[in-house]
Amino acid sequence: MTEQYLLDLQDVTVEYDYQGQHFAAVEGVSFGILKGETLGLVGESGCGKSSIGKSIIQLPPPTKGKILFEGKQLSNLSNRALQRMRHNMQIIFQDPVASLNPRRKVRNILSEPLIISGVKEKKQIEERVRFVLNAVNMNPDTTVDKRPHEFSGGQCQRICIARALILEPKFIVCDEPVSSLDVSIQAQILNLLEDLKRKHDLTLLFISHDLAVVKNISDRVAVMYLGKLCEIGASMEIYEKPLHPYTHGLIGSVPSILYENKKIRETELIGEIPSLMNPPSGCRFRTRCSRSEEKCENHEPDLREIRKGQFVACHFPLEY
Amino acid sequence: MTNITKFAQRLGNIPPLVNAIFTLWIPAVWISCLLAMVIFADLLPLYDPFESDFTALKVRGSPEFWLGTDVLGRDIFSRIIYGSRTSLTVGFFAPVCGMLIGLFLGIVSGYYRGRLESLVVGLIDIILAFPNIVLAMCILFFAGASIVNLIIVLSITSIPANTRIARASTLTYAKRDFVLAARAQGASHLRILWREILPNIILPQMAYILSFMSIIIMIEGSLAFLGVGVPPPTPTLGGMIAQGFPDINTDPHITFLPALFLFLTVLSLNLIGDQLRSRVAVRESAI
Repeated sequence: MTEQYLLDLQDVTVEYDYQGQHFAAVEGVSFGILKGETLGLVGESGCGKSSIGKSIIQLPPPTKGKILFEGKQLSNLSNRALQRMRHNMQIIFQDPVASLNPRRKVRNILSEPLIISGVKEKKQIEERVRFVLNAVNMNPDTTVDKRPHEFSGGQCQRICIARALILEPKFIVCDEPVSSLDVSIQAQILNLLEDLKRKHDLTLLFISHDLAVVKNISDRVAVMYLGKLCEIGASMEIYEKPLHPYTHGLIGSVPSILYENKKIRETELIGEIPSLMNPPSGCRFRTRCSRSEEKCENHEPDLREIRKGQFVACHFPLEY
Repeated sequence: MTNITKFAQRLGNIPPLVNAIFTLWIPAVWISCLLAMVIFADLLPLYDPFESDFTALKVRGSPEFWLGTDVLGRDIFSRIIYGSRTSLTVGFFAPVCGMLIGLFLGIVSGYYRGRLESLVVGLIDIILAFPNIVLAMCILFFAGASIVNLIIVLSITSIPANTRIARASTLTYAKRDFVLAARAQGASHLRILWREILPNIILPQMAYILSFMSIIIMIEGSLAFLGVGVPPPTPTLGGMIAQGFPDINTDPHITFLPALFLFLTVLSLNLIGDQLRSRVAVRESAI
């Protein structure tokens, strides 16, 4: 089973120290990503989505658990081997302007990964830079000598995508890549990502809090709540027939005309997210769940397969 | 409306061009002229600053001696130019050395954090615990006063502020996504410091250096006035002020002319520094 995953997370825990307090932003999360698929990772802010994305590229590495990429455990790799492995996995950030160095020209920003990986020939670097700029639909002649602040947010995100592509990675973590962009630009960037995925045979982990965006782009969707995985399954199944009450509430609270499912639309999430410093016992969602019973307080639900390919961590999953 | 508010309003309505002339161009011209005279002092038709003319003691300004002569009959204009040479040499090298050391300490402590940062911050607090002039006086008293020692001592006094500025700006950039992106590409820490962080913090740091120059020139003048600076007969602005001080009632020009030069130079450096800083800051926020 694990053999076919390009990226396999096993029991990943990410812990931080903040103002003297120790807490786990992500606790015991396991899932895999198949080669060539797009996995959407959704959840409210602070649920540990980005921590997972960052722990995959080992910045910082997870405190517990394993992350396997093509069967190799990343935390066991030497610095050098990890350096080489980094060519295979890149990341795109939420704020495209902040993820480009304001003092460097586009040419230098894009050639940096090549120089780090040891490409020396100027001509070859220039060729690659022009190639990736064309790939993200930007004109190399007018862009290479400009600095990031001369571009719009959407253009900056294209440059970030170009930078991620230039090393020809197999896998890209997209950490809320369209959240800070206008809706019309969002569509452009999403289409671009889909195109590139097809052309370059990429595998994507698409992290977002925007359910509509995730639905469009993902083959499968994983839902997180307070550092735990609630539900994972095929995109259509999750949106049409969510099993976890949290997924149900999350989809129901989208203020959108897109969702026709009346039954889902009637629900919405109530209450605040509990603190990560002191998470509820048992099922973490029980404080906000309408179906919670005593069992939820005492026993933490394990992830189990309810429908084919759809796993849920809930004692009383929704039925259809 | 009272006259004062009218006056204040008129002050606020200075056209930008006039403002730029007074706060940037006149100071810049003053500094450039002074620099040119100091650099080419040996080629200019100046009197020898060490040569006394005992037929003309404490002379007021005249066609022969432009700014007059001092107690020993030496030409004040010539001594001011040569004295500025000392002040500007110290005032250039001390802040530059201080900036380089401070930049290094600040960037390293701001990037790596942890114990190194605590150590650097502690060290700086220790230096700051001594008043600048007292520290400089103590060291110069034991090490002996010479231009080189003066530069070393004054660069030490300018390390703390430089370190703090560098550390503060490093902290803001070290957390940015572009640093993380560089790490994801496999860049080493050294490469990140050099390629990603340094280019961003060097400009704001440079904008402060002119202000440090003016502070250092003032401290140098104070030390010379107190008699622990570069020893006589080498002319220094502070030393000249001290030397003319006993005669301030009868011959004020001996004290006031070097003081005026010192004042104008420091003012110009501060004004240009402010302008530079505001321009850099505007560009930062525009990004």
